[in-house]
Amino acid sequence: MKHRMPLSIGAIIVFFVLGLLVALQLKNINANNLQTSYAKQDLTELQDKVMTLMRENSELSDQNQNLSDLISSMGAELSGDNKALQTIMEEKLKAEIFAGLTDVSGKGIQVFMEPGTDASVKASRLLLLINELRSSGALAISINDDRIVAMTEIRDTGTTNPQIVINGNSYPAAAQFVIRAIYKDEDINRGLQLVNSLIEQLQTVSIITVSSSDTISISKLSEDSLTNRQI
Amino acid sequence: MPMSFNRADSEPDKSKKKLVENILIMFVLMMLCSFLTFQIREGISTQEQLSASNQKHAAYLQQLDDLQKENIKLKDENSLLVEEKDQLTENVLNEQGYSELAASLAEIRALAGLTEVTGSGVTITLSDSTITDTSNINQSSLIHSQDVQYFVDILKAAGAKAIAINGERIVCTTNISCTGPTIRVNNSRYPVPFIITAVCDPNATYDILQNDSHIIFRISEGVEIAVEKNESLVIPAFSDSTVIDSLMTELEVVNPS
Repeated sequence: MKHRMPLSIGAIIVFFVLGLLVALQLKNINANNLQTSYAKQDLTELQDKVMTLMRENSELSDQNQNLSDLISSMGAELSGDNKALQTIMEEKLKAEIFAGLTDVSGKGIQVFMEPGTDASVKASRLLLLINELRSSGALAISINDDRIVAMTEIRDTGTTNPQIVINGNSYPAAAQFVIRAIYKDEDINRGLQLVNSLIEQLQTVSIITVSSSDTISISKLSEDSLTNRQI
Repeated sequence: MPMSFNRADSEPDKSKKKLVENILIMFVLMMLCSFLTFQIREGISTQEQLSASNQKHAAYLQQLDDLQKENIKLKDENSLLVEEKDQLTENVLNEQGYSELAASLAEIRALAGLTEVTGSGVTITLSDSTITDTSNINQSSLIHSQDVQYFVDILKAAGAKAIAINGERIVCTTNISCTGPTIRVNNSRYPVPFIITAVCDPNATYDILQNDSHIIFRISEGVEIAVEKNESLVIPAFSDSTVIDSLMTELEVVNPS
């Protein structure tokens, strides 16, 4: 009996160490898994950022290359023929399109909005719709034939006879509003989807209907509109 | 006799027990050893894995840093080239006697947001709530893309001539959307704080912003909104020619001027 005591103690110690090692091992495995998953997430995020920047940088260098070419061709022809002028006219057309100063047409969607339980259409609802159209890639937008450009304001005015002011023009808020948007082919469905989810969101306050069309025409910002004169 | 019998009987029994014990101990020790080896090997391989992934990580960070530097350089170069091109365009037109065309081109470009705008106006800084009590943090104490959009809409309604968010010019195609903790404006992402600058009538706009019920409500929810009047602000031009060109190619122009 006497010589068995240390043996048991020895066994206890050995098992204790064994248990400890097993625990350590398990912990280690868990920690490893966690660490690698963190590292992986971090790495994919980094990779994404790298890819985005690479794309952006290559686009920028292309743009810069084009600009340099344009400048050198214009400089060379400054005293010569009319090719420089031609390039400038092209630039002018580009700026006009971007400013909303040309009539445009194309495929797109048409939205009608009229008051529901709200007694009149609110500027905030029109703004929601316009922002959805923009975020789904609309290339040109108009409300009641008033072209929506970069600085177009859409605001409520009047309490007894509420109106909505767009580009300085007033429209009776109790009436129907027609909103048109031109899209690239591949973006039309996304536009319809976003408008449909907005219809769901606003179904009690406004009556909104949407349809797509192959021939949407949007006129240019009128020359005497306030937005045009303000700049 | 009984003694000797007993002894004779217990001797082999004892040695048998001892043998079993020894085998057991050997077995346990072997397990211990193999565990130890396994543990050490595992440790080494993890270390290797970790250092490899750290190396990869560092390489990506370095690449990202380089790309960011290149990006800044390219953007600077881009705005210089655009400036040079505009100047040259004006020279060509004026030299060839098209000064009217030069003036109208300048107007069109201004309306499109393709020129830098300088003037008096306001600066609005939007930040998330600074309340550090974590139990109190909720969605409404953070600035969302809708807040930024609200300010842009209100500034337009107040008659702003030009608006930028963190230096990103608002144009006809600008879309402000949420992308996780950042917001995206014109395809670039920005974290808080969002700084909205607008060339407009500073006093009238300041009053409108101070008295807007929705803004007062958002401030009461804890978000930080600071409005400052400025005597002189510079709003940068929009210069992403990819976007401008895409409108040119995608939109069918009816009776161009």
